[in-house]
Amino acid sequence: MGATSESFQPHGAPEGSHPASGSVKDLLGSAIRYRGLPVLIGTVILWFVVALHSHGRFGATLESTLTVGAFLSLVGLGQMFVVAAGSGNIDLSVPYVLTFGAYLAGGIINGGSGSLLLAVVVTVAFGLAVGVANATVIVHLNVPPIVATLAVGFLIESGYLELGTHQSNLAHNASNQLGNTVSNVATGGFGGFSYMAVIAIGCVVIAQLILWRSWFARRLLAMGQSLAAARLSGVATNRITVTVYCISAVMAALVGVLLGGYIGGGSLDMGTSYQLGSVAVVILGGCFISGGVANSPGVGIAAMFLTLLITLTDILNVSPGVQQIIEGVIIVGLLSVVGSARNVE
Amino acid sequence: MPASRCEQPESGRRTHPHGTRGTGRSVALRGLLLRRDLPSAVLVIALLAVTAAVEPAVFSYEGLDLTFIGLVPLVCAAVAQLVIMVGGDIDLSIGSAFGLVNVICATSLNSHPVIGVLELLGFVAAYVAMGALIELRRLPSLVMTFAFGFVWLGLALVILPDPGGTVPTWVTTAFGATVPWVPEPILLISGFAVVSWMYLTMTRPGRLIRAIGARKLSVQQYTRGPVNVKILMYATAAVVIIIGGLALSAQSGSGDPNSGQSYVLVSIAAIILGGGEFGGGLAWPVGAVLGAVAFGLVSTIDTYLSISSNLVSGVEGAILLIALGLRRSLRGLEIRHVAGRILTVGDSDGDEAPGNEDVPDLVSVAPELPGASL
Amino acid sequence: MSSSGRAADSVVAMGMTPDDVVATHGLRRAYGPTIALDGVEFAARAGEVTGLVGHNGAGKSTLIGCLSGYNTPDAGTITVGGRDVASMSVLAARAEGIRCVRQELSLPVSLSIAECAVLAYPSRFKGLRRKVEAGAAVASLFHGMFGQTLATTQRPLGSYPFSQRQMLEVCLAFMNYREGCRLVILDEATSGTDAELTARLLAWMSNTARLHNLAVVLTTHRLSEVVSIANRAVVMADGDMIATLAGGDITEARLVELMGGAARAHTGAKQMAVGGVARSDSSGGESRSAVGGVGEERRTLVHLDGVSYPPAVRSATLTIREGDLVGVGGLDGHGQAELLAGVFRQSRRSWFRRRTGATVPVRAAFVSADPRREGVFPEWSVRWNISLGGRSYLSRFGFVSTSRERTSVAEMVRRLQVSGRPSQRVSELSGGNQQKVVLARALMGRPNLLILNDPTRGIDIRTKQQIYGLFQELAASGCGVLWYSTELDELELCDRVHVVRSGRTIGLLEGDEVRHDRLVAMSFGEITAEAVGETAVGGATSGRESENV
Repeated sequence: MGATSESFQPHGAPEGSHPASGSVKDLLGSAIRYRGLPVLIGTVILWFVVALHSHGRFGATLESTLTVGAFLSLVGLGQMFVVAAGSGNIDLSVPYVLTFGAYLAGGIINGGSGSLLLAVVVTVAFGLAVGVANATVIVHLNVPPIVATLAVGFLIESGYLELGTHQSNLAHNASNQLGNTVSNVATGGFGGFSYMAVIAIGCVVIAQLILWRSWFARRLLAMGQSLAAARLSGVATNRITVTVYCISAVMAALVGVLLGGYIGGGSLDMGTSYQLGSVAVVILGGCFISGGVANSPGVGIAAMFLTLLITLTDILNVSPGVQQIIEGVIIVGLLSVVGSARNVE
Repeated sequence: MPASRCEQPESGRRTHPHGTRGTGRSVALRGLLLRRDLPSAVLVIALLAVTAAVEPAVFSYEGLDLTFIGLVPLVCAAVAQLVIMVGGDIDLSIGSAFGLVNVICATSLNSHPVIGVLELLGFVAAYVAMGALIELRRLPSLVMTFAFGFVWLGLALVILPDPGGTVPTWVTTAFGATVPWVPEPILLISGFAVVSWMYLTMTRPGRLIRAIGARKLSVQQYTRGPVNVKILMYATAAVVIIIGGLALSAQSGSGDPNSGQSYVLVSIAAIILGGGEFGGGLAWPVGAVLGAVAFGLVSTIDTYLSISSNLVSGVEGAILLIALGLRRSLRGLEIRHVAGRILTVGDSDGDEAPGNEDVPDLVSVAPELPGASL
Repeated sequence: MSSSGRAADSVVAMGMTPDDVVATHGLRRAYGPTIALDGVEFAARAGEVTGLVGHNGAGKSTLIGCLSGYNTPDAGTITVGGRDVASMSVLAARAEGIRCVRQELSLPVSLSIAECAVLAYPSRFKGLRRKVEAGAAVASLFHGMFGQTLATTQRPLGSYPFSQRQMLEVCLAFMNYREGCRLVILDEATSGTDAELTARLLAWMSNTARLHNLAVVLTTHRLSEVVSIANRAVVMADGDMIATLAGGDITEARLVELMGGAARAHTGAKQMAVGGVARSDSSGGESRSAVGGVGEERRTLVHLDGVSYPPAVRSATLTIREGDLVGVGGLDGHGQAELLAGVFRQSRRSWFRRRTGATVPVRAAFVSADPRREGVFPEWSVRWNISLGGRSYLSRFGFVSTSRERTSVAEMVRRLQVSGRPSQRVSELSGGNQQKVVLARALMGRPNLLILNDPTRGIDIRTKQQIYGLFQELAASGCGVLWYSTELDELELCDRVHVVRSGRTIGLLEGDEVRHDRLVAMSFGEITAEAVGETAVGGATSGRESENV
C-alpha cells in the first residue's frame, strides 16, 4: 500500500459500502462502529438516572425530553447541513435568527388577529434572506464563517432589540402572542406524543433520507471532505453553500416561531442556548466538524442528551456553579469518547 | 545519457528571469499597502478621529487614560486568543476564564494572597490540561473549549455565587498608575503589541507555535511531540488571561463571574479584523491589538453618542463587515499587483502558491476551523 | 502485482558493516490487513548513495519512515549509533544525524526557510542575528547545490510553489553536511524539479557523499537518477527487498526487469510511442477514423487566442479539437497549472463557447496531480468516489439510482483495471489506484475534454502505461485531451505540445518536432518560436522575454 505513517486508519465502514449480506454479524459490526453510538448510550444512561430520580416515570421523562429537545434537534439539523459543507462552515447567527423569527411572527399574528399564513411566509422569506446574506459574506467577502455569521447575527440582534422595545407595547392580554394555532402545535399533542416530538422525528428521518440517497447530499459531503476535489469534479460549491445556510436560517426562524408559541411570545434571550448548543449536538451526534460526514439521528439523540443533562442538573438541586461544572464535565467526557474527527495531514 | 537530461546552461543563473516592475521604493510602498493588518490600523485612526469630533475632551491625558483603561482587558483577550488561534485552535472559554480570574482576584487574592496565587496557578494548570486533552484526544477545540467554559464559569460561581468581593488595592494601583507623558493604558497596550510580536516572531516557542498552526506534525522535528507545543501555547495564553483578568478587576473593583462573557466573540473578531486567520500559523499580533482597540473605541463612541445600547452590537457587526469587505477588495488589488510576476524561488508577493494547491475558481476557500484541520 | 519473486541474482549481499549509519533487521509493519514491510533487512552505508526503487506500494515510503523516525515498526530492530532499538522518534533520529525529505514535504509553510534552519539547528545558529546567519548559510548552500541564487530566505515557505519548496527542503536537509549530518534520505524529492536542476543536485550529492562520508538514500521513480549516481540500488516489492545491484550492474533495463515491468524505458511512454498506439501526424486529423466517420470535420473544443488568466497566465494561445492529444510543457511553475485551471473554469460557464470559439458544447473533466489531496474523497468508498462524476446519468428525481450506480461503477472499475473492490474505502488503495479512481470519476461524466494536470506524478510504471493507453484510446474516440506533464517522455506521446514560459505559450512543437531536445531548448528560451520553423496555430507570441536581472 502506498500508506504513510499518517494514513487514516479507518474506523467504521466507509460510506457507500453496504455489506452485501444483511447478516446479524455485519449489522452488529456496523452498529458498534456507528458514530452516534456513544451519545445514544449516554442518553439512555441519563434517561434512566433522571427517570429514577423522578420516581420511576420513564415514559413521562421520555415524552417531555422529546418535546423540549425537539426544538434543539431541529436547529441542530440545520446546523448539521452547514457544518457538513466543511471548510469551517458554521452558522452562529442561529440564535439571533430564531429570536427575530419569534418577534417577526409574533408581530404579524399579533395574538391571533393577524394571518398565520402570512407570518409563516414572511418568516421563511426572512430565513432565506439571512441564508443568502451569510453565504454571500462568506463566499464573496471571503470572511471566515464564524465571524461572518456572527456579524450578520449582530445586525439581526440590533433589529429585534429595537423591535422588542416596541412590541412590548403591543397586545399583552393574549398569553400567546403567536396565536392559538402555533401554541397548540408547540405544546399540544395526541396520544402519548407531542406534536413537536413528531415534527422533530419526522425531520430527522427526512434529513437522513436526504443524506443517504440524494445527489444534493453527495455533493455536499464531497465538498466537506475535499473542497478542491469537489470543485474539480464539477460540483457547484458556492450554490451548495448558499443552500445550506438557507436551510439553517429557515429552520432557525421557524423554530423561533414554534418556540415563541411554546413560551407565549418572544423573549430577548430565548436563543442564547441554541448558539453553541446547536454545534454541540452536531459534534456529539458524530458528525465531523471539518465536514464531509453527517449523521442525522445522532443529532436528534444528542439534543435529547443535552436536554436530559440540563434536567438532571436541575433535579440534583445543587448550586448553579456546580450545575455548570457538571454539565461541562459530562460534555467533555462524552466528546472524549466520541473521539477525534480525523487523523492529521 | 538518460533521456530526460539536458545540457546544463550557465551556472550561477539568477532565479528571477523577470524584472520587478517599478523602483524599489514603489514596490516597498505597495507591499506596505497590502499588509493584512493595515485595515485595522486605518480603522483605529478613523475611530479616533470620530471620537475627537464627538467628544474632544477625550484627547487630554485624563480622557485618554479613562478611555483606554477599559480597553486593556479586551486587548489581553485578543492576544490570548491570538496565541491559541495561531497554533490552530480556538478558545471559546476565554470569557468564563476572565470571570474566574476576576473572581479569584476579588476574593482569595484579597483576603489570603498566598491562596489566591495558588488558585491562579491552579487555573493555569487546568487551562493547560484542557489544551493537552484537546491535543492528546485530537478533539475539536471549538466544542471542547465551549464545554470547558461551563467548568470555569461553574468554578467562579462556586467561589462567588453573587457579584461582590473586593479587589486588592495593589491591583488597582498597578493598572491605574499615573505615568508621565503617556497614559499608562496606552503604554500597556503598546507593550502588549510589541511583546506579542516579538514572542511570536523571534523566539523559539513562538516559532514552534506558528509551525504547529501551519502543519501540526512538522514540530516533530524540533520537539518531542505536538503536545509540548500545545502546552506552551495554552500556558502562554493562560498567563495573558491572568493579566487581563487582573486588569478587568482593577477596572471594576469587584468580582463578577459573568464579567468576561462579551470578550469571547470580540476577541475572535478583533483577530480577524487585524488580518489573522484560523490556523495556518500566520500571526498578526499588531493587527489583533489594533482590532481590539477598534472594537473598544466603537463602544466608547456609542456611549458618547448616546446610541441605544440595542444598536451597539449591530454597529459592531456592520463595522466588521465593512472592514473585511474593504480588505477583500484590497486583496483584489494584490492579485493584480502580483500579476505578471511568476513565482520563482525567492520572488513572491503573494500568500498563495500555484501548483498543487490550485483550485480552479477565483473565489478563495474559507479557511478551516482550528481543530478541524485534523 | 508481484514481480518475478525473490530474484536469486542479488549481486551484492546486503550485509551489515561497521560503515553503516543505520540498519534494519527483520523490520515489519502492517496497516490493518496490508503488510507494508515484511521482514526488511536494509542498511545505509556512509559515503555511498543508495537508490531505493520499487512500485507504488512496495514499501519504500514505509521503510523510509522507519529509518527517519516518522513510522514505528511493528517488529524488528533498527541499529543506529551502535545500538539496537525497537523504534525511534523523529527527534532521536535527527540526533543521530539522520535527515529526511518526505514525499509530501514536512516543513511548516508559515515559517521561512531561515526560521526552519534556526529551529532545526539551534546550536549552530545562536544569538540575536541568528535568522540572518541562517539565511546566509541556506543561500550559500543552495547556490552550491542547484547553481541558483535565492533572492531571499525570509519569506514564508507557503509563498513558493511545491517544487521550489521541495528544493528548499532538500537544501535544509543537507545543511550540516560538514558536521553532524550522517544520513540524508530523499523520498521522491525530485518529483517536481526539472531535469537541469535535478542533474545539478545529483552531481552535488554524489560528490558530497563521497567527500564527507555521508550516506544518501534516494527514492525515485526516475530510474535515470538512480543509474547516474547510485553506488548501490535496492529493489523492493511487496514489502520486501528482492535484489541489490551495485556499481556497473545498475542499469535501467535491469532495474525495470527486476521490478517486473516491461523491459523498456523509464516511463514506458517511449514504448507506447514506438510499439503502441501511434500518434497522428501533424496534418491534423485524417488518421483518426473513429470520430464521426471518415473525413468528417473535427469540431473545435477550445480555441484561445492571447487569453490571460491573471495573475499567473499572461497570454495563452492554443486550440484543441476533438480527438487531439495536446500537451503543455515548459519548466514547472510557469503557469501551466493555472492555464489548465483557467480552461476548466471557463468551460463550465455558458459564455465559454462564444468567447473561445468552441463549436460544440464542452463537457470538461479535470484530473489533478495529487489524488490524496485534490482527487479522492477519503471517507468514501471507491464506488461513491467514482459515481459522483456521473451524477447526471445516475439520477432519478434527484436521488441516486443505486442499481445503475453499481453497474456503471463496476464497469468503470473493470475498464480502468482498478485493483480494489468498489465497496472498499478509497484511502486504502495505493496512490496509483487512487489516481485511477479519480480518472474513473472524470470519465463517468462522459467528457469530451479531459484536462490533466500532471496526473502520473509519483505513480509506478505499470499504472502509468495503463493510463497512457487510456488517454490515447480516449483521444482516438473523439475526446480532446489537454495534458500538462513534467516528464518529457510523456509529452512525446502528444500530437503537439505548447511550451509555456512566464505565463505565455511561447511556442508550439508539432509532429516530429515533439522531442526531448526541442522541448528542453524551447523551455529555456534558447530557440524562439520562429526558429522552430512551424508557426503555431492561431499565432504564437514571440519567444524571448527581456530579462531584467
